[in-house]
Amino acid sequence: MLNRFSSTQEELESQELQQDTAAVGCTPIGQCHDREVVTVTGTLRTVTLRPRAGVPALEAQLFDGSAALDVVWLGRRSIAGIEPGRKIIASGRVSVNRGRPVLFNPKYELRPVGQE
Amino acid sequence: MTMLPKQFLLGRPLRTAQMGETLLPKRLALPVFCSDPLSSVAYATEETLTVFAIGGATLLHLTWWVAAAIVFLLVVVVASYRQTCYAYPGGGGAYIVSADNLGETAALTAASALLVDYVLTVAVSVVAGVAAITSAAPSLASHTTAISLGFVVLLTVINLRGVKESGRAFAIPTYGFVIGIYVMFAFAAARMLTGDTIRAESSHWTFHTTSTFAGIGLMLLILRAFASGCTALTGVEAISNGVPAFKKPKSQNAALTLVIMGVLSLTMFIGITILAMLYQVHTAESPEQLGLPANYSMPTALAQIAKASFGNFTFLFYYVQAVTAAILILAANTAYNGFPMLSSILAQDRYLPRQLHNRGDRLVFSNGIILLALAASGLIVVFDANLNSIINLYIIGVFVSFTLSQSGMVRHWGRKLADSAPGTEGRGRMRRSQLINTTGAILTGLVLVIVTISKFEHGAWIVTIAMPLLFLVMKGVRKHYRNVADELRVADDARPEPPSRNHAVVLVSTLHAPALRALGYAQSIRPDNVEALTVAVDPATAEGLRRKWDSHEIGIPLKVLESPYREITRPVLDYVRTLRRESPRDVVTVLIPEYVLGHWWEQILHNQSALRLKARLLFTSGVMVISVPYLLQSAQRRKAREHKTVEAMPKSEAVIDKT
Repeated sequence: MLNRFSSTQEELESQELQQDTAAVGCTPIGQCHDREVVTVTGTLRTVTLRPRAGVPALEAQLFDGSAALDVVWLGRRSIAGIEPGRKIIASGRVSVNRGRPVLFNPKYELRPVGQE
Repeated sequence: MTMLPKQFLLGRPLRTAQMGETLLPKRLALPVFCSDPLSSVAYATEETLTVFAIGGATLLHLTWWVAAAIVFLLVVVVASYRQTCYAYPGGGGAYIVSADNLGETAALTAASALLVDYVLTVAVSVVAGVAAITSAAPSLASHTTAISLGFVVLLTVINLRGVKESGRAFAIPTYGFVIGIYVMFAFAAARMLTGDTIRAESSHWTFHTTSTFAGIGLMLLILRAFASGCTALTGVEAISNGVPAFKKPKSQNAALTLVIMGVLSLTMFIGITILAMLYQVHTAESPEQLGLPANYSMPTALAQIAKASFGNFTFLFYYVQAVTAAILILAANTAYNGFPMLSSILAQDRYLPRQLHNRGDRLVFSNGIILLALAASGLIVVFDANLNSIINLYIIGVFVSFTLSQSGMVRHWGRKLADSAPGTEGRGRMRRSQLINTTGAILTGLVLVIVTISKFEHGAWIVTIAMPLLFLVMKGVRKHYRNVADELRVADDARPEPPSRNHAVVLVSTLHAPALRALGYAQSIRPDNVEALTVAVDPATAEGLRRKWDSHEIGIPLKVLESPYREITRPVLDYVRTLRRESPRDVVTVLIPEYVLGHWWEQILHNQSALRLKARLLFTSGVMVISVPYLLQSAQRRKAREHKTVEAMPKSEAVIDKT
């Protein structure tokens, strides 16, 4: 109880997300290793719209409370439903790019946001 | 536009090069620096008489001795300070002399004593002057505090106009007072030579005392009378402080002014005391001591003397009363010169905030003047403009600084003597100077002890708390400045080091003109990498921006941040911090497009999230924040207006920050 008051909002959010990861039965991102096939879940913290001029790609950052992971879909500039704040489950092979884990073209599943 | 009232009150700003024009000739320096010591003769005699009144008429003859002691002390102090004027032509207040000869602790003690005393000088003299006015017009008595504050404001404005102008304003009452007193002496002398016997109206009032004094009690009473009479010495140090404000040759002029001041004070003090004794003026703290009804309003000793001397020429009596009231208020001016000067020196030595060292539009230390006015006003309000309670706090500081500065001078001459070879010329002069200063130091130290003991229980303890407090504050300020300086210092071989990469982030909420300008500017500074950042507080708005971004074909990636709690600041801060964490050797440049409005009430209508964000980002290391302003029409109209006024007058703010 006291813990809930003393911890910051970020810590509480992270805790919630981690509990959710465990409930769905996915691997926490913090425990993902290079070249490993994983299934992860979390919320999309950022979604980046690339300019039309370059290589078309949709880039997003997935956060599950333990760490952040980049999700990149090549050949697409936008995907319906991939927007900030959305919860997804993504699975694929992890590669590490400049120290950050990346999933290229993962299989993904959109999860409902709130109760509708 | 807003500058006009200021210009009207204070006059046109002066150039730095006009500094020389603000220097004072002796005839103006006298009223500027000496209104305090000169005015104190108006009450010094009375203070002494009042103390002896406790002991009854039989003790009054002791006034002669006390007056003689005060005269001797004044001569010694003036002579000592003449030495200081020559030895420290750059302004040798107690602070500088002590810092130079006795070390930091003594210097700060002197400085805190003086600062406290200057504030008290303003409060005491203004309240005393107002008391003189309200005793003439009792209907004003209920507004004493308001009138006192009004005079403080008036003095502040006059002093903000500049030293020379304040000298002109104060010359008339100061010289008027001196002339008035001398005319009074002449009248009295002429009448007595023709055989008149003049008696004050109070001469037939008899003392009703219950206590008799002998032995130690008598000694203490004499000492207390002496301490009270020593108010005549306040303000003497102002000249030695203000040597730089004199015209060349500065030291000679300052020393001469000091002597003129000494001669004027002495003759007036002696004259008034003689007349008071000859006229048998009786005065006391409360009317009951003289057997008068308690609510009887007693005329001051000077008023009684003036009334008796002028006899039928009542208009001369009123003239003396008027100039006395005026000079009592103007005595505060000595503090208005001393305080800003001292605080600026302290600020230069990093003991006080640096702003106190800045000269304002009129080349005076405006911030110091304003600070003094605020402190004095606070004191007046707290003590409800009650003279009797404030006056007891007074003089201790003066004698602390006297003693320290005299001791410092003794050390100064001692060092000089040690440096010069025996037998060289000037050694005799140095010896003599040292002797004068030694006498001064011993006497003023003695008076300090007497004053502290005799006034402690009457309220002087407040000063003994305030001074150490100020001392500690100054130490703290100095420590802070030193720590900051240590942290900012660079090694001799330090060169600018560019960061390995510069990552530019442009904050965008909607695709409007300011945003486009910021994006264009971000590209022009050629960072390694540019991206636009938006916070999806409302998903629909974010989606709209995304679509617009696409249709405008903006060649910069747009990153959309989630904001589950509808905030703007936190997601942006988190994102920027992540960037920093991942590559600590890079810098992040955050560009914030801002539209500038002409009026403050327009600002209310706009969300100030950019300002909040800027304030927060300031505390994130390695993050540069650039505002990209976009002037709206109202702001441009305002700029055009200001441009016109600026052309009409040369400068609006002339405070030069030298640090």
